[in-house]
Amino acid sequence: MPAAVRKFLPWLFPAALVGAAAWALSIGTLPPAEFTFCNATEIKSVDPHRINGQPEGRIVEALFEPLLRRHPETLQPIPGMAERWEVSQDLKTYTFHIRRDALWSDDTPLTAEDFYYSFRRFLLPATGGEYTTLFFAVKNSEKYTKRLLKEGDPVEVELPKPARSVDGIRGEILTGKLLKIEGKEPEADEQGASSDDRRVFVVEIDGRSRRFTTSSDVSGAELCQTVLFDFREVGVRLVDRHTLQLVLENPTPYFLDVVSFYPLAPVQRACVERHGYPNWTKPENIVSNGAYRLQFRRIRDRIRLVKSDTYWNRANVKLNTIDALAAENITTMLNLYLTGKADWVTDLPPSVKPELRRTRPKEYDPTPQLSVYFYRVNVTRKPLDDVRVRRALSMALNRKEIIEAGPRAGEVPALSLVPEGIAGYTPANGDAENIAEAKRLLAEAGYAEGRGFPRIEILYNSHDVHRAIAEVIQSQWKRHLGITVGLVNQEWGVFNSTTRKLEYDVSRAGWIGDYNDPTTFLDLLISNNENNQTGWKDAKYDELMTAASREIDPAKRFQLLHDAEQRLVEQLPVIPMYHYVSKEMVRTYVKGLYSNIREEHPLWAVSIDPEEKARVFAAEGLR
Amino acid sequence: MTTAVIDETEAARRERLWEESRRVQGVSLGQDAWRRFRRDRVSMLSLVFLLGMGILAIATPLLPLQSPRLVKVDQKFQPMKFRPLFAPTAAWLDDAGKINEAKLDECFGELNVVNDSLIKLRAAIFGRWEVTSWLGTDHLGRDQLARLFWGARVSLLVGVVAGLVSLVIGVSYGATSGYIGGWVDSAMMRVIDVMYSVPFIFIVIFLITVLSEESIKKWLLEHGIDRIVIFYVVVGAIYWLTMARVVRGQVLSLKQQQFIEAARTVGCSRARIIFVHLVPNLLSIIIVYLTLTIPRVMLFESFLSFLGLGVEPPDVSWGLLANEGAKNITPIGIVWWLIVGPGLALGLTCAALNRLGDGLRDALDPRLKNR
Amino acid sequence: MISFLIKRLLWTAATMWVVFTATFFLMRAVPGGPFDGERKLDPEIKRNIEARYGTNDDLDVQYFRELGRAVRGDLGPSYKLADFTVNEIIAQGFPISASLGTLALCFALGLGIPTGILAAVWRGRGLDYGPMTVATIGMALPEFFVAPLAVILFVFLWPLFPAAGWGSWDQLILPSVCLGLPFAAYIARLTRTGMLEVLSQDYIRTAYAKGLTPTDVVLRHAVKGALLPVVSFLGPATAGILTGSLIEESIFAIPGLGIHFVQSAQQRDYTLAMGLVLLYFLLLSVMNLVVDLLYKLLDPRVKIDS
Repeated sequence: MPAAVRKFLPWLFPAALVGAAAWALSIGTLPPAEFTFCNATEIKSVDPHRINGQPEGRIVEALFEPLLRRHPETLQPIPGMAERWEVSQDLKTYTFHIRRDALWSDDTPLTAEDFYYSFRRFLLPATGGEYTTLFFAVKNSEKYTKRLLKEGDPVEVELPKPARSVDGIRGEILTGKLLKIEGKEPEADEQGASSDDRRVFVVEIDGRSRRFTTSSDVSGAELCQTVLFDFREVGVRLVDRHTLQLVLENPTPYFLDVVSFYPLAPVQRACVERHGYPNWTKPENIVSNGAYRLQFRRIRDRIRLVKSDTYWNRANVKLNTIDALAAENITTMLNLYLTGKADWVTDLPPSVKPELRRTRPKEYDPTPQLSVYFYRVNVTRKPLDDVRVRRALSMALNRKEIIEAGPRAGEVPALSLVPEGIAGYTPANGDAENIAEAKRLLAEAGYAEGRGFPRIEILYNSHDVHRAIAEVIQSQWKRHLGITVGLVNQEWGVFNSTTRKLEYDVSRAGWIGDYNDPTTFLDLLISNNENNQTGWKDAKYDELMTAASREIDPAKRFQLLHDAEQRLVEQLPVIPMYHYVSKEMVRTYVKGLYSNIREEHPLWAVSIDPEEKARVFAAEGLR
Repeated sequence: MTTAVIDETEAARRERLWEESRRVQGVSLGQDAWRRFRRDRVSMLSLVFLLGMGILAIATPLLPLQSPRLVKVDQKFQPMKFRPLFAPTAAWLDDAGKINEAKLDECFGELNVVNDSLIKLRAAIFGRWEVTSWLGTDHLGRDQLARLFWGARVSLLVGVVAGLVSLVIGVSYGATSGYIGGWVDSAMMRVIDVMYSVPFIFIVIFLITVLSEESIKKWLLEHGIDRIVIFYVVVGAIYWLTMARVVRGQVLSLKQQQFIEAARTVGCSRARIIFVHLVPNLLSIIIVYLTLTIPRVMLFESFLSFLGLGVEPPDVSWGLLANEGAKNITPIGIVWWLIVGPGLALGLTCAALNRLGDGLRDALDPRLKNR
Repeated sequence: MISFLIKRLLWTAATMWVVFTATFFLMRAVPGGPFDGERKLDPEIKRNIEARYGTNDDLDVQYFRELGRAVRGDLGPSYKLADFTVNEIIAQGFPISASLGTLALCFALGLGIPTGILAAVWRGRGLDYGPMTVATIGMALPEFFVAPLAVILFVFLWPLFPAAGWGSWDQLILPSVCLGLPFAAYIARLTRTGMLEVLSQDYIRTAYAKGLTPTDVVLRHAVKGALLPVVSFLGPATAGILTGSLIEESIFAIPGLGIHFVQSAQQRDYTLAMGLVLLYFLLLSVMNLVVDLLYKLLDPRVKIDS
């Protein structure tokens, strides 16, 4: 036998070669889509209620349409699934009228009930929605999602689900009044929270008092799935089949912006409950209501979208097929673009940006964005607890030099947290570079010429640009203030954990505005905001922010916010570095893709000019 | 007359034989190997190159180089330039030649005693004169030549120490496992399988994060252990696996041979058989693997830099430099002077190591004596 | 032979359990969790998400739940690619990585073995130094260095191949060659070493004495013995190629598993990471078994302890 096998051995090698090649080729190639863009990563999900990233947003916005859309150029809310809407006098009640011709992709009509179901699903704790905080402007929604219950509250009790039901179906729901909570709330630890909730909820249902618990270890109480604030008391009202009302806690001037945001898109109840999560998101099962449908997904390769023939505005959707590539390497994206395989890339290698600005100004034109790059300062540590030290650190920075060395795309030096570009709002004015003053402040704090200043460390997550920036800042502080600064880079997961635990001195951060309002930035530094992470708690700041949230008059409100920000840049728990500029590059033959302050480009507005494309391809020798 | 002549030649022949045997006696195995090694020009060249590299790396603080970490954003991306060759620009010395400690710290970081005295010596010899940016500057305007030299210190040290760590662990482990055989062998090989099959990236992330935790880091720093030292251990601990496997494979085939049988018959202990009889016979394969391991360790270090887990700036290593170079390889433009330096440094060093390994192997192999 | 295989199977199962356990606890010992993003979630919302995946249960509960699931062949949902199960991700990515790896390995063997043989036979001459110098340099340069250079050369300066992708024949060549190159160099060196070893042995002299032509001696007698080190290298190499393909997969946008290896660890996608570790382990076990069997075939002196 061995002899026979031995003879066979040499053939193994060509056989493997042919086999592998055939295997690889069997995947096959596809005809290219009409429009291809690099989405920079494999998206987490197409379920609008579970996501929070920009790449996810690009796909989900094409698949699902909320009550309102955003204008591709100005990003102002425009009619979407709702053809019109009204706002009450006190700015607290919004009434939306759903268009009559709205259809799901399985040809069934889409009604206000779908939105009611979807908002409830979005807020339901079991869904695990990450963006629910945005919706908390709506009355009682926070209580619902965070299970904030107190005695006397109206509640809903979800009974155990039938065995073997799919993820998405809920158990039977009873409603009543919460009489009493027995037992203590489980304590949250650092790594999240314990699920060990042994509380017993005494609820009066139909005049009868019943005891419920979510833990199977507790005896003397009925087992239930969960006890929540009664959704009927949340500010989502179904007026009729085509009318939906949202009632807010406070007047929220940017609320329409929120309503046009993708997590507020509807999903179809029948589809979700038939297949359950994640199966309902499979291309063969998914039912959507947007301009495009999901044709297929290849993990880490591409997502193919095809034009929907049930979309109400299908006459104005120009592209029939769109490919979203998941390629993550920025140089690869550039290569795909330059070889004509991608028409729009969402990021570029920093090293080529200056050259591209020069040679392809029509395709790559960086414009300021609604975002900020900044350093958090841990104000609980000495000597950073001294505001003079923080101001000295900020004043000793040459932000132009930082931009030249790091991102290199003409970013805007930042002396405030909020960028320019929010109509009606003037960002605060922080201290500009002033080395003499910085030295004086440092000396005043007791560290003349940096003497006696303890070694501090800049923490950043592993990334070339962050490293370059940290290196420049390190050298500037050394040069201008004479203080010694170390660099620590941590890989993403650890970085987040370290920052959250306040185990750093100075830590790199970035923030991209979610909606067109200063609060998307300023909320970060409120004392109890989980993204504060500086240890900075300022009563005056909190007071101003609270006052602003209650203010109805837009001008007065902006003034309050401006005052709050002024307080911020004087106290400097965060040191703003620069405001990002757009990173994308797009071919000239792509139409309807306007530069705007969030690099948001609704795909329904995009089209291709074939003549221009032929001309460009001929000029560059592409096929 | 005739007899006398015969006697005389007889005596001369005997004399000659004695002479010859005396000469032969004097040559030990090591000398013999060295003699053969010397004849191999390329290997000698590699050895000289590596020794030179090592000496230069050690003596780096003595050389009139610019600072490897001084950021000069206004001078970023300067191409190679040899004119002028030198300039009196050392920022850490004032005109009188006195060292400005703060500036020195900014230029070279904290220096240990040896490096500090080397720097002082340098200041005495060269004064403010230092070489200009022969190899250009990087994206922060730092001198590429100086970075290459300071990077060599880290890279060579990582390679050599990690290589030796992997050698010691791997050879003992592999030889023991292969020689004892049976269930011990299986068990030991399964341990290797386990270690192999937890992808190294987990181990690296795990170790580096645990060791970078504030309290542990502080403790380590107090004992003079910095992140680079952790590297040796981590990398060495990963690379012994292949060595062990290969050694075991060879032992499996060697232990069937008669001289092992003979040693066992005369009652040698296991440890003696393994380390006295087996390991020397494995020498050639071990050396080849070591010379293959050192370059791989250096590449692994660069891979870690690629993942952002490498040495921390402002320290440099060749891997870090290669990475920065690779970032600049795009169809829009290639900053070639950032690529050539680290590429050549890594490539030549690894090539020399490999060549050296081959030469040593040939020299050490008694069977190749007459070839 | 049969009992050897059975024993091996049992060993594999036992080690797999050890690997599972070690990985499980190692991963969770590292700071950070799967749901930590730059945007910190409200603790209550994070708790909701964790409750969905059961990651806030006690560690022993999680351990036994996941072990039970893994035994049934279900690796659970991925935390980061939430629409897919780990089984689906592996089913889609593995064929691609495997075909890329096999092609690269074929290229490496096809180039490495002949180069090594030639270098050994013409030892100390041009045919030795030339290819071996190329081989050492091929080994000495990092892949993230070589692959972009290859792209510049063969995609832009001399447009032979497409920039990225996987599925058509012209997309296969560049990544396979780039991935295989360092392995080819390694194999060439191993072959040369093994070959030199063998060529000095008595049975080769006997073969020459019998009057065989040098070609016959080399190809029929020497090569077989010389390939032993290469064979023993193939086990780890296969595994290395799978993870090493990370750089190639990233630069050529190939949707294989390589990227997941690093990302799942960095993003704390526990289930995906576990799935990959187990896959990697299985692959390695099979390859090592094959290597051991091949050893026996190639070198009759080796006995397999059974």
